[in-house]
Amino acid sequence: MLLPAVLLYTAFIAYPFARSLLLSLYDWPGIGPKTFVGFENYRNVLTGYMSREFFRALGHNARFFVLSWLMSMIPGFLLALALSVGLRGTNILKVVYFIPNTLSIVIVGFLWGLLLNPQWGIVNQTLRAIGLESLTRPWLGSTETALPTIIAVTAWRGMGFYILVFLAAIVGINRNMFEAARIDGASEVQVVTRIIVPQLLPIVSTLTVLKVIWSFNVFDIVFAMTGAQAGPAGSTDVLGTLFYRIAFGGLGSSDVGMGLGATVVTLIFVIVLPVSIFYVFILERRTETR
Amino acid sequence: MHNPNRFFVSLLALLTVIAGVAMAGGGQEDATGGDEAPLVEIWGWRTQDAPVWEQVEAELQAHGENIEINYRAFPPTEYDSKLLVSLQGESGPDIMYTRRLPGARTQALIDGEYMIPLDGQVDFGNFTQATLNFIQSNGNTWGVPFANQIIGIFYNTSIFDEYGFEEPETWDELVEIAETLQADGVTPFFIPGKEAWALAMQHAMVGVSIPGVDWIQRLLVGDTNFLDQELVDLNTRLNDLKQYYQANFIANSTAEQDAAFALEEAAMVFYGIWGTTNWTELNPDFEFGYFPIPTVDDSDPARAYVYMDGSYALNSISDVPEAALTVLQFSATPEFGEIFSAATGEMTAVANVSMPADRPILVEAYGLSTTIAAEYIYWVGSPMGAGTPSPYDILREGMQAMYLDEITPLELAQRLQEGVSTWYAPLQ
Amino acid sequence: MLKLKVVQKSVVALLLLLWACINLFPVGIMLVSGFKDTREIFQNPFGLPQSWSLENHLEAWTQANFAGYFTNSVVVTVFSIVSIIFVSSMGAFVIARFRFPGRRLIYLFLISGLALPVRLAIIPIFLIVRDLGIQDTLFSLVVVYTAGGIAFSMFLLTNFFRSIPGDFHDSARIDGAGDFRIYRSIYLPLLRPALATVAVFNFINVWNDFFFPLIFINDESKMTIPLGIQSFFGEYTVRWDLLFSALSISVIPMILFFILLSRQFISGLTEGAIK
Repeated sequence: MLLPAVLLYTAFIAYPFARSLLLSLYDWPGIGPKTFVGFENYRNVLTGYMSREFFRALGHNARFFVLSWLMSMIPGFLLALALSVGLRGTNILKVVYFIPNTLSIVIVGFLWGLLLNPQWGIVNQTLRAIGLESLTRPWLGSTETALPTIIAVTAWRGMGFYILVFLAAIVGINRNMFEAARIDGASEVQVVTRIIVPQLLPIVSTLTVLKVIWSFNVFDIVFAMTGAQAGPAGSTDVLGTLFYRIAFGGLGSSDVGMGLGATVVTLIFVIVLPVSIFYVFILERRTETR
Repeated sequence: MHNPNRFFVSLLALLTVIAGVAMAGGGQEDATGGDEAPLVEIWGWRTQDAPVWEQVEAELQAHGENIEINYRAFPPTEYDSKLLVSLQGESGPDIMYTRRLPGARTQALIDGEYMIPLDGQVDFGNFTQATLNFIQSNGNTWGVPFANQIIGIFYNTSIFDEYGFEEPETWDELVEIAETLQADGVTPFFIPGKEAWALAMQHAMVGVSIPGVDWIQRLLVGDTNFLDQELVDLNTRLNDLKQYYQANFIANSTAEQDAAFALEEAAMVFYGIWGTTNWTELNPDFEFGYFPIPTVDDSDPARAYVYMDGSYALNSISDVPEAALTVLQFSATPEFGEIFSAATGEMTAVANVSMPADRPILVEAYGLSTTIAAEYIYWVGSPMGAGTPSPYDILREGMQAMYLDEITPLELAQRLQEGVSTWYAPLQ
Repeated sequence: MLKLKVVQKSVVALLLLLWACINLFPVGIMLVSGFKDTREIFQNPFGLPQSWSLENHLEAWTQANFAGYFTNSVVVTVFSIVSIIFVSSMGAFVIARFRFPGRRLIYLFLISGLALPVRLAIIPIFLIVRDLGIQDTLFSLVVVYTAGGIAFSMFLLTNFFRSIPGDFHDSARIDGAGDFRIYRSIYLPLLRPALATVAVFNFINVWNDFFFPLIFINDESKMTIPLGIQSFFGEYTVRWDLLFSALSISVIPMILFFILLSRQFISGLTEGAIK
């Protein structure tokens, strides 16, 4: 019964990827004859002419992970906590909060591009209207704000997922624990910090693993918001856009190489794989000890 | 909907009905295939070309050629992936749009023997050598050029008339115009700074007038280099001009530029002739003119960056090569040029074609494209585009960095010199 | 649950409503902009349209052959989801309920697919599809989406299976039921909410994807909606008026599908799809 999954997955995902990763040992423009070059691509990426761009992009991925962790987990938890109070309309809000998740990333990037327009975009207009003129920014037009802006848009789209997962976990906590704490004289804030937060830690670790995987593979939202060049001045460039530029080039780009692109992806994979392995083992341990 | 299984079953049922209806509809179309006209499949990245190929098909059939054409446009950012993958599955089109040389993408298609040299099979007598240079290598011509583009400054005619401005003949006059407009609350320039390629293009189009083609010629052979004061001066002029751009211009796209310019919210843009059709569509009453980038001294003539946009190439694995060749032969004639320019509002690559009279800007640009075209260039189509990093690669990021004050004009020059000299022999 | 004072409750309610507005506003802008012409979109981007006529929507629908794309998208999405659910739930059942050598390795192998960018492997994938003789068919899309959906779906479903107590299984086995029957008659019904969760996540991916149709499909009559929408983006131009109406048309089925399944979807998350 496991066979269909393994077969399909092997034939259409694992095998093609394995073949593509092997390309990292070749010089190949994506068509025509391949030339075996050994580890030259790795040299170029890690220490050669690509290394500046590679490590800059890697740094942006790391920043993406940290910032998007903060921007998703904390508001996600607080909003879930707010929902767990059980006010009227909670069920409708749960649905509303997940709607951005259903939009394609292309649409999300496109819509937020309009909202963030520096001249007539609603974000700056709102800030001006409520007297926070000093907080207006060119958002996607400054090297300082562009990456955090893209991360915030990602968090906006994904928030519903975090809210619902946290909410599910909060609702699943045994109510007697709350009562017991209150009898011991705990305030509501202490109920949150002493009971709810510790109970959520396993979920947080799972979500963190997913965050790592997603953060190091991020591509579409950057591509949709700042394009293949991931501007301004490369300040939003991540490994995904770097791979895209190298492997497929862009209009007028002189640099195309599937081999070099495969090298970048192999390196992403090498970064993410240990995290996945670690996760599988902690999950196993968790279920075994239960 | 408490039961997803039941939900899926009903959805499946609904689906079968829809699919049935769709197939019934589709069946009628299939019934028309009676005569055996060869179908020439053409793939490109230009949605605006669909009417061109419809007219070409009609024209060829009127000439007694029994050929059908099916043109498909893919998103420009995805076209290369689509073509590349399909060719390797031996399922590509008969005629494919290809980008100019030197360029790794087209070079790979040539090296992989997916393209056939067209010399002797297509009459290239209607093209200038300057145009053909963009698609020739090793003495072979690899495609039929379809469009030339001219880039420079486009301006709002009524704003210029209102202030009594003439088209500037020196850089200082241009700055003066910008100064006057800004003092009066009019945005002088709208710059799509979010799109790095447009900034690289701006640098290149100014470069052919300041420092000018003679300097570029010396650069290409290595008699000077990017650290030369003349280039630093160009960078500085551009950097000084940014005070006349709309606020936060690094965050704006070309779509926003087009809207702002056509809806008369800015006086000038640094752009290309291909944008004009869109402006007219956005605002049919909009009137605009073109001038090349003025030089420092009005005794030097202003030059324009003109480049070939792309060409039609014959796929070596086409199963209807004769019919495809007939289409290509037609696309090298003035007749095709007229159809192309009338339908798209762009400049055909075919020489000596009369441009549609209802588009005066096109008539003017087409004339200028032969009289003031720069012979020496360092952006697309230049020998410096044959390696990595090219000036284009560096300028995309570098211009944004300079405009954001992250690097100085001198540092931009240094980046160019350091990058290009890693592989471009004359600069080493 | 937390016990709050009235004032605190109103603050919480306000916060929740504010977030709901921030969620809905961009979607609302998109729907409203579908009624505007290009000039209005730029000159009055966040106001109401001059008229509420469906002219743009009709033009988008007919010009891009949306009716056909719509059918194709529905066919592909539904078949993909059904087969993803079938394949992944069986696989997850085995991984979570049986102990055998290499189990962890297989699980790791399957979920490592979460970390692969599909663009890299497109050429080998395309060649396999071509060798199977299914290129340029909707079926090829279903097969690839099913394979591509396995990683995340198995991840969710395995978690879910683990949260179901093992007692059922043991008692059923004592009654002499085979594994497939145990899976089908005991677990599948318990799994409904989790399946809804998986269905929604995969619906989002499949419905919105344009890369596979772009590469696999040549026949215009077999294209899907996201590919059709691309035709409103030219090389240098955008058909703004039609784009927003087309986007609205494409988004509404997705949102409806989600709302229909939302209750099951949410209880799927509640009952342990992520842990």
